[in-house]
Amino acid sequence: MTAPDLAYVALVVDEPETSAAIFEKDFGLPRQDFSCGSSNVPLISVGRSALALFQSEDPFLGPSAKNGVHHIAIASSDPEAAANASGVQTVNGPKKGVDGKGQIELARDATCGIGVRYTESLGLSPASSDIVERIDHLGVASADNHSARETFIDKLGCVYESQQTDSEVETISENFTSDTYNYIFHTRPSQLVGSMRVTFITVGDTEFEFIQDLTGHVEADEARHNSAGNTRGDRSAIARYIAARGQGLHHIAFKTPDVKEALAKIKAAGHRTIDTVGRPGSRRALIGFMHPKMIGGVLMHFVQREEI
Amino acid sequence: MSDYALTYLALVARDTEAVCRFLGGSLGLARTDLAVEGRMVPFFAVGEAALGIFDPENTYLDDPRAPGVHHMALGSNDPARTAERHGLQIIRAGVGPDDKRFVAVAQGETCGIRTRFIEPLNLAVQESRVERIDHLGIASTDIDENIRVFVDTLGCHLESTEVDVEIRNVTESFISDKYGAVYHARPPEILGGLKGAFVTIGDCDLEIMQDFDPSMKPQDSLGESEGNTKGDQSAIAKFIERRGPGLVHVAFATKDIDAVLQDLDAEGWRMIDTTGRPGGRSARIGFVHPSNFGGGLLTHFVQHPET
Repeated sequence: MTAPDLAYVALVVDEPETSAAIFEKDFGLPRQDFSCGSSNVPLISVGRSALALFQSEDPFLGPSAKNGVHHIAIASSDPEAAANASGVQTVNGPKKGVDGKGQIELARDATCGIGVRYTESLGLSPASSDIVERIDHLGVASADNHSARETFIDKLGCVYESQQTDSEVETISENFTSDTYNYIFHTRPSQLVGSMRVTFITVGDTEFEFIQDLTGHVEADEARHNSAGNTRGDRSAIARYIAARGQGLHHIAFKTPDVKEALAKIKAAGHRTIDTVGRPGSRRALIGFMHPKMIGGVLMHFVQREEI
Repeated sequence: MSDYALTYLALVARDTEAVCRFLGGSLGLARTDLAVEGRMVPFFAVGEAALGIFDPENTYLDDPRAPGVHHMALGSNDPARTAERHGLQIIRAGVGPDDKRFVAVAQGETCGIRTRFIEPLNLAVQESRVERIDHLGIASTDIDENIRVFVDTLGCHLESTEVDVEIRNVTESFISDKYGAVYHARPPEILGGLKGAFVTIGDCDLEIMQDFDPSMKPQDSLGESEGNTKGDQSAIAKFIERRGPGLVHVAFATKDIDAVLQDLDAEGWRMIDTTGRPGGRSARIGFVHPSNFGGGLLTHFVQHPET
């Protein structure tokens, strides 16, 4: 079994045309259009993979497609055989996909809520730009990282990359400073306010980032896109996402040589960003989020890191 | 230089019976019922002062008579002359508990603290769980103005000043099996705090508290869990928003705060704190829930460090 390659990542956006123009112009990534059923689908090459831009009503996506990262397609010369070899249940049988290539879909509830399809290769040339080298990872809101490892490593043949635990601990201290009495300093017990287990599994030239909230007993914070993020906020976002939509693909991250510069360029192009400078993220990275409104509700961030 | 001592503190409660059970029964303070404008009002002697327990309909008290600490009465052998001597406007004069002559001073002249001067009461004191009133909690929007009135004008002693703040420190850790550990601490963040000044009136003090930084939003839920400085700041901010500056609470000095709090808890009183926690002046403090008395009346205990 060879490690699977990623053909494309399907994003559901409000207007594929507008989003494609942003990726082309502001991210500097090449675009190529393909037919898919009766639709014209813009594909944006990035690294050895691509982003395919759909509208939520596109019948190719199936019912109740919501804005965000919809599914991934693994490249295979024989999609049906590859699907059968995985032993994961398929749905709807073989059909024609992007560019009329054969494709087959796996049952979402057997793949940790992630839409997974096999497709014949699209034969796109690799591409990168000054702010995007490739997709760094696909963020997944996960309820059970053990089951993710079983499915994607043992069944689909992906490769384990690393696992980590991210935590945010809050410590409150009180100071009483009097002009007459002793200085009193007093610290209350530290509290874990957010914790996540993050498992990276390689697919093609990127990784799934399975994020499992470990602090279910702590009430999730309100959504907040107007200030720099932190572990507590990230963990709350995952908890809210799972409560609202169940587990599945949550965000997409692009590897960049300089996160601050990448954010500045996106800002200069007239878009909002959540972070303006990189902040610590998983895998010793600096990460910086763009505002999900930029690409019709798709949450995206940059990642700057050394590979080891 | 003159200085004044607290003669009595007027408390208003919806459930005056509960207050009497608390002060007389649980704390063991001596009760004396005194006629006030023809009605009997329970007074509890504590240290050199007393607490008068009024129901919200008692017209001896000026409007509004919301549950809580209503006014303080400072001792003077000639109440009217005392007020005049300090240039304080008298809004009412009459005869109060035990036929003692009093005058009430315009609230605006004493930083929202409703103040009266009255001829001293001489009430019998008995051994109890509290030694004296430790302080009267005052919500202030301008501590300097309180000091001007009570220290510069009335000649009371400025006992001490302090600043209490609550600070949040956050550490994030990212610990990977491949990439190693990254730790990252965010800058400390001030959650809230209080500026305080203590001014002596007899055997107790005014504890004048001002929000350290009014731009910090008060927290919503109070009294649900054990108290802290942020909660205290929130309580002061909310009090001022609702009622304006003035008398907020009364605190009792005790020698063994943990035992008092735990005994009261065991006796069925709803407590905010069941053990002493750090408070002003290096003391430990613990609050009683106002719901015990029908709401509004806030009390706590204080234990000072051994000196």
